[in-house]
Amino acid sequence: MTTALLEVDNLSIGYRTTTGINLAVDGVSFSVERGGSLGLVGESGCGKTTIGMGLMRLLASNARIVSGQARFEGEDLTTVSEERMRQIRWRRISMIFQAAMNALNPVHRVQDQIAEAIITHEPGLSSHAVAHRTRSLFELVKIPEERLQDYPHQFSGGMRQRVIIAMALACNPSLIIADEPTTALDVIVQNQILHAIGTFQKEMNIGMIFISHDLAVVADVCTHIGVMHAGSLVEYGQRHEVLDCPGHPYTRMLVNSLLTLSDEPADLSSLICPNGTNGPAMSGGCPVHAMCQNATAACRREQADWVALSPTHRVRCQHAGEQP
Amino acid sequence: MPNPSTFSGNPGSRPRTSAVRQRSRWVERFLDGWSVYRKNTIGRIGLTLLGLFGLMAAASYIPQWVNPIYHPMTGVDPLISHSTGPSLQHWLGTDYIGRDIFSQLLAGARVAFMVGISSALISILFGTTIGMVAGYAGRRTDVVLMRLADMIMVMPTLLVVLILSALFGQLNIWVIVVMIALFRWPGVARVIRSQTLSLRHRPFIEAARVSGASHLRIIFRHILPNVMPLALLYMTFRVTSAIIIEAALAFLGFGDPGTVSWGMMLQWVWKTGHMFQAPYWLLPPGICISLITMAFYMTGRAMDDVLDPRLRKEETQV
Amino acid sequence: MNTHGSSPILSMTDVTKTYRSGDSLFGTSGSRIVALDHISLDINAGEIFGLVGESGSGKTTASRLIVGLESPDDGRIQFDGKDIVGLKGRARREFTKQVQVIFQDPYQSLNAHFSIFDTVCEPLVIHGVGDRASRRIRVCEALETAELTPPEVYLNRYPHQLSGGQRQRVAIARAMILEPRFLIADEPTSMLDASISFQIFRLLHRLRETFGVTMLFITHSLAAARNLCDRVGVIYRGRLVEQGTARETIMHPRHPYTKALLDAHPRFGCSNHHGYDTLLDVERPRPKNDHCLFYPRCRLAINNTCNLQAPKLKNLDAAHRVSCFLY
Repeated sequence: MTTALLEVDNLSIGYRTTTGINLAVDGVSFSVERGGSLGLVGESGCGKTTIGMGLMRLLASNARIVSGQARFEGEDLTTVSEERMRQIRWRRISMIFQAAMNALNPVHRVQDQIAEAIITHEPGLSSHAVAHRTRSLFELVKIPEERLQDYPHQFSGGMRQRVIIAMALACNPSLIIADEPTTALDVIVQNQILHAIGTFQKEMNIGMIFISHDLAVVADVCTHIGVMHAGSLVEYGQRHEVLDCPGHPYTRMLVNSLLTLSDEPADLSSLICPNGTNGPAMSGGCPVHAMCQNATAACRREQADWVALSPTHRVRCQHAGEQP
Repeated sequence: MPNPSTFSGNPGSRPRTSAVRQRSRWVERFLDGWSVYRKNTIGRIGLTLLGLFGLMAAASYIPQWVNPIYHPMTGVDPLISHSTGPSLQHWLGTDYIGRDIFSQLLAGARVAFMVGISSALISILFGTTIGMVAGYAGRRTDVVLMRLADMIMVMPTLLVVLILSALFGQLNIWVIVVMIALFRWPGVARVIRSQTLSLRHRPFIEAARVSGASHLRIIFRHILPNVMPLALLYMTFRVTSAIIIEAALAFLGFGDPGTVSWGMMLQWVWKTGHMFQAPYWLLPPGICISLITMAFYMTGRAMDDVLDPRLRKEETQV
Repeated sequence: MNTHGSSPILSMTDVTKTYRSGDSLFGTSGSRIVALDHISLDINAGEIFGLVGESGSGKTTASRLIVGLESPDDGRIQFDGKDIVGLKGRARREFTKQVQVIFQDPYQSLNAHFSIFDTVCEPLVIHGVGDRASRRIRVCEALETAELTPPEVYLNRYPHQLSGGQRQRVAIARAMILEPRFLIADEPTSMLDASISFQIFRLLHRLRETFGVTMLFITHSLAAARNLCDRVGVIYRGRLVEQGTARETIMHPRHPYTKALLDAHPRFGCSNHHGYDTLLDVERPRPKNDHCLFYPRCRLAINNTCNLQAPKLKNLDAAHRVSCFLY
């Protein structure tokens, strides 16, 4: 039995504010296999981006990992030294940031930027090897070779995103954290990018954490899905389990609000109304109780323990397993 | 039902169910702003210093009321007719003809405020309006106005004012104030213009146009509040530069001889050769000039936080 | 083309808009970008019409032309039978009472310095409607219509204290306060989460039921158009390529581009993508002469037809139009 590539155990990350520490991520646990992909879904403000940044130890100066572990290839990412983390970053774990296509330096050629990514993290390579790898990366992401010399502004949004993906793959990482990689792209381009990501993820046996607010996108690409709200993981399981039989009312709401192309217009009536703002975890109680129709006093008091609906599917709800 | 306390943000506002009267809303806004300003250390220091100088300015009427020999311009102590050091009767000593230095310092504070604020006000009013019109109208209006601003900006203020006073003789303090203002507005105008340019195409401006707002309304109701923080910030800089220019003018002998300003005091020190012999006379005005400009600058910085709701130290978003 | 027997409330005829990029100060005119190319469409009173296209297709330009933020280079736009291009003065003010817009970015379409009350009240102030007391009542009513209850709680708040979804509701309240007859919703939910956007759609539906307001819904999402709109027009690079009822166009698309959009739609449950039926993997070079704009990407293109001339919109039946040589 292979151990998981990444095992996150009860991770909590908090921000220091004038009124104390606010937990942005509260006791989150999940694992990612080699070649597998986990989709972290949640609305904006639920803490999913913070998890990604926390794993890479790229948190803002007023944020810190409060507790928990993140075991990656035998090391605990939360406690390794900064020096070691620098070696891990990009070589073993790389990241595709949100709105990354704006992150390309407009005054450098694309080829140079990818080369720089390689050289920074593998200084021993000869320039010949770097050039060769740059070319093969471009081939991998299907950008024609003659575009190597172009500047970022000469690329379309989708192509720039491919460059970013190439940069993320530059040093053959074992894990990629992709934070909303397709948000600003058109539907067709988005689909092609997702397809591309899925392809080399499988070819190169890379594990992936796919962070998105769009359940539809995650559902298309990932093998496992974790649903987050206000810093807590509320449901976790394989894709078909979570989508076909969502155990948590919040997940049910997300699934119901997916607009489909089916013959019947979507059922617009059964939605519970989340009018509050998302944000750091509020003390006590289930994070969703304010908007759940079935909330009881127990829900307001404390957060439920994990209930296993199947060996691979767990839910955190007092009423898990009951028929809605 | 959403609980208002779950909203991140301004801790000072409370939901109000009673009717909203216009006046109380301004009071409410002022109190909100004050609660934010209060937390800013630099702002507090700046405001304290300004308060001190304000007290000085207000108190400048007292000395001559107590005893005519303390009048800054005409008060002559019958016992003293030269520069003396600090003593009980004259807390900072006397100048070269026996006038009390301390009361001169107080009067100088009054002049500094007057000159600084009025000059800054005029140049800001002018500069902001021109900047907004240029930025909003664009094209030819913009080009014409900005070329005008450029021409004025490259002229060395001090030199031109010196030349004008040489031509027209000693100038009245108010003329000096207006002249300084007329030379200092281009800097403001440029900054306000670029701010306006960036705002012009923002969705909320377009929403106002779609709602049918006239250009005037858009400029003064929508753009002005957004550029006001910048305008007020620059006003504090204008105050500082106005005070310094006036002091320089006075020091060089081109100020209004009927007004006692700190620059004028420095001029007297220098002219009468007491530069190195009378530190009690030289230091106070110099220090005051530095401190008051610093105080205005600090206040301006702190006001930046208040005026832009988004700059306030909110709870961090996740 | 109308199916209601009465004249359409909004009609665009042969509207063209070109942008010139590049600095004209240096003499050489830069490259011209054709944002809209002879677009003609009609919207009937009381319907929700969806304009579907990708970014850069010209759909936002169309809405800007309708409300007068910009002027078309060619063509006519008529509202209620009257020309609205180049309106000024009183006529324009009257027009702005009838046609309103909800913008895409709720974080930018509200003035950060205005309280919610100020923002929603502004149209009343601009048009001089009512006095202070009655305005407050109307603002509260508008906020309630936009499902922000209790409205009094929101009056003194500022935009940065509200979530994206709430801000968008404020924008809706502002747009609806004068009860316009025509509402343009320009991608109102593309910056919002799925569940919030769902509610916004529901709200727009309800607005149509309650007020009978006609809507032009601009979106890049076919699913949103399917669920919200009565009729749909698909726009590609400035040209209308297909138009028909939402159901028919999306369930049985005719134009290869519409089919490609459908293929691209996330379909969970089948992770292995089956590829595009109508889209080429590698684009063909663009012909220099007049041609169908979709030709470089079209797998079904007919050589010597699609690359020699641009197709015209053809009626397939009473309600459906396509611009393609395959039909």
